[in-house]
Amino acid sequence: MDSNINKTAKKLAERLLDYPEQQWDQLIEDWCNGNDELQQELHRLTEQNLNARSFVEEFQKRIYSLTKSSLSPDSAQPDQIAGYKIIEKLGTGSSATVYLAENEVGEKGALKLLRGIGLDSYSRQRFESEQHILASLDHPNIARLVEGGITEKGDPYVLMEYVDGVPIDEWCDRHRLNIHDRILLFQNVCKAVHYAHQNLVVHRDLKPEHVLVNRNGEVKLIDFGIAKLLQTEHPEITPFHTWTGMRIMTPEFASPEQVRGKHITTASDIYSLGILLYLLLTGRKPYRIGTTSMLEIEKIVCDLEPIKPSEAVAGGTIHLATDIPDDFFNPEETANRRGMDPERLRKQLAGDLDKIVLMAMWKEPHRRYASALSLSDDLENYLKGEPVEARAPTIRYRIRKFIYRNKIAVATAAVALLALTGGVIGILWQSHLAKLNAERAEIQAERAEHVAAFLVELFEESDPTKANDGSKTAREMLDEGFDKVQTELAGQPAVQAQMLGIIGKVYQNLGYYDQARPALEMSVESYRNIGERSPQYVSALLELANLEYRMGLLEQAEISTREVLELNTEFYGPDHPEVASTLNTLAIIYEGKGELEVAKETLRRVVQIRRQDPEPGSNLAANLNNLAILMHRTGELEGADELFEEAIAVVKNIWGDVHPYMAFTLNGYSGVHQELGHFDRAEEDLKRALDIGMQVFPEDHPFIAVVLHNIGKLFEATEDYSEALQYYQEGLSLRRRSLPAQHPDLSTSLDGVGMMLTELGQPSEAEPLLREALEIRRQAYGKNDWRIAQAEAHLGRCLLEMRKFDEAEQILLKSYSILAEARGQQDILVQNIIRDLDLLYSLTGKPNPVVIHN
Amino acid sequence: MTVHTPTLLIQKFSDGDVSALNELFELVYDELHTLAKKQRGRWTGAETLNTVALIHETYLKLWYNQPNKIENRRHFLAIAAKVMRQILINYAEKRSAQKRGGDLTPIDSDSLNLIADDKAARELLEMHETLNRLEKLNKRQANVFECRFFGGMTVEDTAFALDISPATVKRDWQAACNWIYSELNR
Repeated sequence: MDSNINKTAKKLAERLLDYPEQQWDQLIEDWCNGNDELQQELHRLTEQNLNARSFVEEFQKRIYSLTKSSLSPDSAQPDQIAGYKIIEKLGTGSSATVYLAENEVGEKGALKLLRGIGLDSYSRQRFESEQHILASLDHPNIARLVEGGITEKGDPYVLMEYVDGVPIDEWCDRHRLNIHDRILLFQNVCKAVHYAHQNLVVHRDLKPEHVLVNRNGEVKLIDFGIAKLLQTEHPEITPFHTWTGMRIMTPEFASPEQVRGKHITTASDIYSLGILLYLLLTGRKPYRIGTTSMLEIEKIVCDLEPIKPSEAVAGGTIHLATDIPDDFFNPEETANRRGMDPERLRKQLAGDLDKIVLMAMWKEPHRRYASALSLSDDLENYLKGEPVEARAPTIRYRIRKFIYRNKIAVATAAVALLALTGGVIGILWQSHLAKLNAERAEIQAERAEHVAAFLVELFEESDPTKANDGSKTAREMLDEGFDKVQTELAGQPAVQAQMLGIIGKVYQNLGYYDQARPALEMSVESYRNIGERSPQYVSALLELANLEYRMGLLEQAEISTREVLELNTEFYGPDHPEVASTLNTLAIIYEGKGELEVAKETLRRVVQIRRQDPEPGSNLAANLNNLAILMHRTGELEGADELFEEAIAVVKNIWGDVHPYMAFTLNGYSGVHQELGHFDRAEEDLKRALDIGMQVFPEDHPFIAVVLHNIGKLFEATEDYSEALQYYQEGLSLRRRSLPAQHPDLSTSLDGVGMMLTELGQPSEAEPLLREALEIRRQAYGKNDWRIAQAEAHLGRCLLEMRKFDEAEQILLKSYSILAEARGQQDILVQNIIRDLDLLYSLTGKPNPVVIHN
Repeated sequence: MTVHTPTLLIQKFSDGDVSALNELFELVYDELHTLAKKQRGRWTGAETLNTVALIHETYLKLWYNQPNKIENRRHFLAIAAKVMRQILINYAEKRSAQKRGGDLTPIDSDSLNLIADDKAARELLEMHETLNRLEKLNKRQANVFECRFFGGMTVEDTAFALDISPATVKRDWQAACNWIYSELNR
């Protein structure tokens, strides 16, 4: 045998282990590509591998399956148990079998026999007292517990009212119940659960199989409290997997506290009710779990946010365990079973029902409905068309969840969204972390692990379930983290640099630019000190550039970005997507500096590179959007129109209609429509953008403020000032909540509100706002920046209205001299100033020094 | 019952008390055996197998009380697999010693059912020896095998417990299986 072939075959056999076995044959054929000798050898090796593994697995099974079978020693059906005649077996679980049984007078019951559970005297006592409590439950929608006891063999059993019914989800589907009727039926479930809770009984295992509907259409809950009865030790724990992976509790309905083995309360039932409601409304479970890996179950149940029911019925992707196939969801059929079409179903669920379901399903027990009754009451509110009690998550909560969940990925993703919305055009963020060179991967992964662990520790401390009283703010958490990183990681400069980078990104993401800057600068400095020129370094540098740009430090931003460009060109070559990304950033900086033509040329190059990419995807959409905005700005309206159309098509193709990018693009497109005089279309664009924004972003997201402001501008252009004022004010209050006091975007809103108040004859209310706007711009921009002059012009106009002529004259003249030079006499701003000065001089009777130039 | 339940010890260990780890190991071990002994009397039939069953039940309860902190959880998982191995081997040793000394006892109807289990006990011991040899040649492969075979862990759990990648676990598991197979079928 050729030793080369032997070696190659060994390598390939190893590589096959990364793929599912059913793909092996195909892969072997592909890889060997007609090399018969290699193929033969590879087949021999894989067969050997499979043999060895099945030998070991058989061995393992022999030891453990014997164990399992010993847990159910009676394969034969008993004739009689505890005086009851056994009619047939209804089902078997891992530790219990249910029989249909009959007593001497012919009364039927479901007899549950628990095996594998020897009872010591303590457990026996508890079993008896529990059983008394259960027997006292008397509710028409709860199957009664008739009696319980211990068989002759020493196995405990319970006899329950026999319910001849089908699981509630199946029943609803079978009878094609609409959403309204499903809710009515579900409310009965809630009331029954509430009754039990009042009697201090928690079900612990609510799922469709335990919520039956009988022939008369009545709900019957079975197995109430049985899960607890089953336990012999550690009553606080409900294991839902046995050793062999057989389920006791269904993980898809188990609450996070159940999965973690923590204390179970009535709130755990509320959670399971939430999942059940989710299933009844959407036909899907929010998670699909088939795995036996505790870690994976825990990750899914405890960390992942479910998608909204309205997204689920629209075919959104639910969270799957790695070892389970998709649920092959069919939107038409599902909607059909609810007597409507998919779009109507989505609309009906969106909003209140989404909120109600998600409120029941909060990860933290104390955030859920306080009782099953209040869940039912809130559903009643919905049915009556009254405001519901359920609240959507607040922005801070979401950010924290987001950070916690994504640990290391957080900053990159969040910044991508923010950057796109923060300025007129967005910086498209590229995840450098994801593009590590193979040989670096291992060491990077290890470092990432440290970073992730540190972050987890950091944020775990402010987990509300652990804190004694209310949680810290995101800012406090970060400040602590920032301190910790500087002190505790001093001995690990590489990890420290990366952590600083992440913390800087999160600060920036939350709008704390004052802290973001030192963090990022320290990060960049650290990398330089250890001589690291890795993608992480580039990533930190780019983040810093992004920040400098947002703080209006355009020169610094350009320098940082140029260094990034140089490094990326060196790493990847001139036509690489990374380079395109960097050029895109650079173009945005040029735009900020007012160098529009250079910016446009740079972006054309970006688009050119992207078009060579066989899968340009989202990047192309963003670049097209950016270029279109620039063309709009430089008056190339037709070109801009075309590019926006293309961008929208790309976005729609990748993500459909409801996606952040669609909102961004529509927002930009509205400007072109407005300029072309298509006010209706512009309004339509903006309202759609706002609608999407409300769905995909938290309520305080900066983008929402941008769109609100733009709608205001549109009304202003149509001279509907009072309408415009309302939108500007909305935008302002949102920005006041979410931005630092010196943020330039805040000045934009202040300016808008101030202008409208002036126009509507309330200049004295406008004055403080316009002064605040001016002050912000003076802090943010260079001395002769046109934006300062613009704010001055507006303040001047306001002062003029207030008849404060001296200050108005002074400020208008200053503004005029700067703007006339920067933008020319014909500019609309300049024309307005001339008009105001005209008015001023005619009122004061002084000679007008400006008219001469006109 | 003593105050030092496994749950409590895990808690202590989670809080940073490393000495709790040793105590935990012993306690888990004891607890499993005590429980098994306590229950044995109640069973008719294949009592020995039920011992293993009970050990599993207890193991499971421990599993659900894993520490929260990542590092500690890692230790716990690795320990859990070792405890399981130790207990099974210990049990198999006792059993085969009994059988060797008990050649003269008449075969009753119950022990007929246990032959398969005796075989399993013998095989287990052989496996244990082989794994000891592998430990010397390639520790990581042996550790992976221990977690998967005795700890019943999935690829992902094992990767987490040993702080290596799932791909490495798959390769090591295969290599260890190959080794065990060839050694036991010589």
